[in-house]
Amino acid sequence: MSLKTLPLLFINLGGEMMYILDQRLRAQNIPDEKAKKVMHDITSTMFNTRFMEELFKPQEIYSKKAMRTVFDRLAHASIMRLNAASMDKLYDLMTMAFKYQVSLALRPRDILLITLNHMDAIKQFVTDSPSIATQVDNVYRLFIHHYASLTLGEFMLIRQTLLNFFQDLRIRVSIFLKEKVQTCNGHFVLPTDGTIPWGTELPGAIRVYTPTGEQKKTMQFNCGGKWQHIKSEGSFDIRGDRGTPLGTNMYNVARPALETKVSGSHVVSASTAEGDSALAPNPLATAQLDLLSKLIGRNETKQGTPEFRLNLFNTDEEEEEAAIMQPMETAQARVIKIDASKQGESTELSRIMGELDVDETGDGEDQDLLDLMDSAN
Amino acid sequence: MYRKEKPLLLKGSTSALANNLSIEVNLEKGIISYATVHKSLVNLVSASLDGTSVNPRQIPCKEPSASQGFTMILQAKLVQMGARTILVMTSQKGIQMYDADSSTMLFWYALGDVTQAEPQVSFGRGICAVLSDYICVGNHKGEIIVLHIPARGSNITVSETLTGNSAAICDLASENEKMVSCDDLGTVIVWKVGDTCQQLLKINGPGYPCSAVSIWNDLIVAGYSSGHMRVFNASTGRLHIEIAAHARWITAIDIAKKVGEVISVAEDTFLHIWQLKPGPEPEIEHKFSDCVSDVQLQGASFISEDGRAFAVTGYDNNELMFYSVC
Repeated sequence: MSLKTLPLLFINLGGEMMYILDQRLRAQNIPDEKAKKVMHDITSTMFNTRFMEELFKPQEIYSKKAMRTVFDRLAHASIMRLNAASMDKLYDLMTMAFKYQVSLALRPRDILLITLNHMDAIKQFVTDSPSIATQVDNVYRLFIHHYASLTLGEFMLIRQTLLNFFQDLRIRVSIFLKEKVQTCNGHFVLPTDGTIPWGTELPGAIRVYTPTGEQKKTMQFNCGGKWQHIKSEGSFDIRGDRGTPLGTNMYNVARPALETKVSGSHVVSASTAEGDSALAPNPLATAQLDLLSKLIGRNETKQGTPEFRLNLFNTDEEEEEAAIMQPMETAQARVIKIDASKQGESTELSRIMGELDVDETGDGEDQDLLDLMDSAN
Repeated sequence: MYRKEKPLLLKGSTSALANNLSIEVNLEKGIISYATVHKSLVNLVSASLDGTSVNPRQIPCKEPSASQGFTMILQAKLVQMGARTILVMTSQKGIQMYDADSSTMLFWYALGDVTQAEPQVSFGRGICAVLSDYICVGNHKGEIIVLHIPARGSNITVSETLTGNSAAICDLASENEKMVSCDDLGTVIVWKVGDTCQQLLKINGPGYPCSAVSIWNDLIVAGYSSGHMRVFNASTGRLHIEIAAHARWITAIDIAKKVGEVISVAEDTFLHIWQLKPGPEPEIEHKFSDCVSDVQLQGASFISEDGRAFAVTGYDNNELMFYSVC
């Protein structure tokens, strides 16, 4: 609906992806050099100047399938490989995290602060590469240029468009369940004792005015919640305190492996006819996916480092189990229609598609995760 | 006071849109109809008055051409026009009207300029019936399109386009020939709608969008994104009452017209019932509140004009939640 939603959706999902990859790369003891290469490659692809220019043009958001395809590509923009089950899990975690942030935002404009939190963290990941850091800085400028002057109404429309995108997606995430911010049916817990949006008044007062506009009397009523004021608005500058924890890295503290559980409601909702965007690919999205794929393709040609496989699960066995347990729906969602139609046009694209099917192209070094675990033992 | 009743299960969850519940009671036919927006379709439920027979349907927003991808609906409203009930839906592509009984399309009005090189945002939002001749619909530019509705048939024509609001319309409400519009800048305008239309009054906004509006006994009750509710005189524009009512964006306001009870809901999960007392110095009293745990409320409407029952809806939730006097 709002034509200004796509950059926010893409950067925030991308930010969540970086958090998860960072945590998994460390959890799996991937050598620093390789981990850094992955983080750098993905960030520089994500913030590619031409792609960003395209992204910030007014347009509808991609369909769910197209968005998923973009992130499949992006996750494979470096030397890291994810199998289908790990990719599914990664995407589930990313989308549920951003849905949580959009749902809990105090006011629609906070979505920009959430985005800046993600940008700040991504910037930290690439501090030792000035060229990539410059790319990130350019995107800060794009955000300020395009979003600083938007009205509250426009931000509300953006929020509604995002919530529409995430509607009926209720995957249970262990980190949320453990922190009691998600209920067992996949809905988020909405507190009634937190802060109120910046610039608003605590509920509870009824003021009656005289014909001249003076306050005649004030009464109180019980508004039900226990609300308090927020301390600061949060900074919309390139550097600053964003004033909200939403969008910061929730995996920073050492935690056990992330888990997602597909709840019953999720399965049901996925099968209902909802007139979803997934049914009709947007021609614009198709064009941009092509562009992104080409960019990624170009990126990959210069690689010389052997690839490795990242697992989003505790063990390979769990990963295999998850792959078997996948509902048909999800399995089909991996059919990439959009790119197939363009196969003849781009050799880079064909190559990427070929690579997607290949799980392991390691050259005998200790790239395999099992080997890594053995050596750790 | 009020007791929560058994909910009615909708075929799809409710989208995050203000004023996302419309109820129309047809006593002659003995039918209550409920409409909520789910992404690009409308969940329409027709139930008998006693609730024993329930007929759910889904009406998709029709596309001018199949290639244009999916369309997000912004509002759906059931309006009583003489003997028939019309379902009006607004989307980013335009305004559509359907006969609520047969689901046949009566009218299509395109919004947006397709000649522009860059895609432009366009949408309809804010729907209300005035008298039994007109349906007014707001748009993204702040215009209100006044449509003349014949007693029968589909010869629906544009009677006039009203300009006065300078930002996207959020909601419309009417009482007799008076219509109230509110917009994204919080401006409230009172109009006279008929063969000739006229702007009667303009109340400048506080800068916060006015997301929901209702009118009763010449009193305007407006709900804002700041959580405030304000009561204005519809003839003088005077502010009578201001309430810091909610902790989040107010998403719907409705009035039970026989008794002057007001319901307000917001994304803070709370619903409040207020008793409005009309007169030269109107007053308001808080009567009841409830928290619908973990549901960002998006729609609210009284079922009967005596205020004895009402329903609410919320984002990502596929229930119509009912309350009745106990």
